[in-house]
Amino acid sequence: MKKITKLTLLILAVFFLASCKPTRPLFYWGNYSDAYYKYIKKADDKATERYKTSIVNIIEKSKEWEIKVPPGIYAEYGYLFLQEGNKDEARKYFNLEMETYPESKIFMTKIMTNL
Amino acid sequence: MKKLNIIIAVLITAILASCSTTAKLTKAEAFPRMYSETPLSIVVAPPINEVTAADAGEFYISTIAEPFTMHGYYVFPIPIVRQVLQDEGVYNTLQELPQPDVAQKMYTLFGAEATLFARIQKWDKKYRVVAGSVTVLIDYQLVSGKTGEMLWSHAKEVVIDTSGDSGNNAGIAGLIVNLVETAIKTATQDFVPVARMANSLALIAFPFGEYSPLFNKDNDVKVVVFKSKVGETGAVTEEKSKAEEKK
Repeated sequence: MKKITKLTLLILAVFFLASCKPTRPLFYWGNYSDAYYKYIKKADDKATERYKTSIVNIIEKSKEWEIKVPPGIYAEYGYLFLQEGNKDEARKYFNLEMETYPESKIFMTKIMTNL
Repeated sequence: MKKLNIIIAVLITAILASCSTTAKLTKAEAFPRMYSETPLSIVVAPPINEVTAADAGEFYISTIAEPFTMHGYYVFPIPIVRQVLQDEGVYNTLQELPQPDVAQKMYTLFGAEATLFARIQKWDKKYRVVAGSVTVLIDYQLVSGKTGEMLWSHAKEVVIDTSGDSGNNAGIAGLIVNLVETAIKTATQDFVPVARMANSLALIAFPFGEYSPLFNKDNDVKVVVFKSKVGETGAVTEEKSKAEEKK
């Protein structure tokens, strides 16, 4: 019984809050899967650019919506910089990934030690 | 008392497992290890592709991160993991499942609390004059990196309509269906939306993780656990189960 009351309250609270502020998804992924698929199929300049634009768009939109940048996205951005030979920018985004998601620390640290 | 319930539930499941069956359980009963271990981070292992469609693996890999993050999990950056595994010479070397030792290695290597394995068993495209569909069967297995135990598994054949007619799929996951339709209409040879849909449906009863506001609040949600003669296994929501019965 108690559980049901709690749940009802929770649902009501969610509805109430939802009416004040636009509901945002947990994460914004934009056209990531489509852009990434084309990138792995054919990593030419056009597909790479599209994939990069998709990532930039995710980061910008997440900031605009005041939600967290999805897991892995900062790291993927950093990795793109790394492939362009821009180690400083790469390191910056690997660190951002680690700050946003501490559970990525072991992996990010490993990648950065090889830089 | 709760323990007894679980034992009874497990027994019932075991007895019924010999034939095609479904059972109503709470999520916590259906996936007890998900709730005792509460893994936060997931690394996606390269899928085992058992189908002739060579692209299937790439469709899977490019669409799998999103739904897991939307359920509140950290998913390691797919492109970087892919590269690291390729460099180590272990990409596409998996032949069979389960692989508890690989999951445990991923834990030491990446700090991944769980590894998601997958076998793509069906990816059959059917073309009709005005419509088409893809029959997808993916065997998903989430294995703990800490204990090597199976945390969650799901293998259920789904037929995804590529005709853009929402009649069949209405009510299952309305929003996703709409997205799929839009995408399919704009790109005919593109099966990214199909993979997205298949993955979303597989995760329909998946427990929520730490980044989700529903984390630890879905324990008592009832799901329909199924097991079929042809080896299908997993769980769906009650609504989904009812919708399927009506068909």
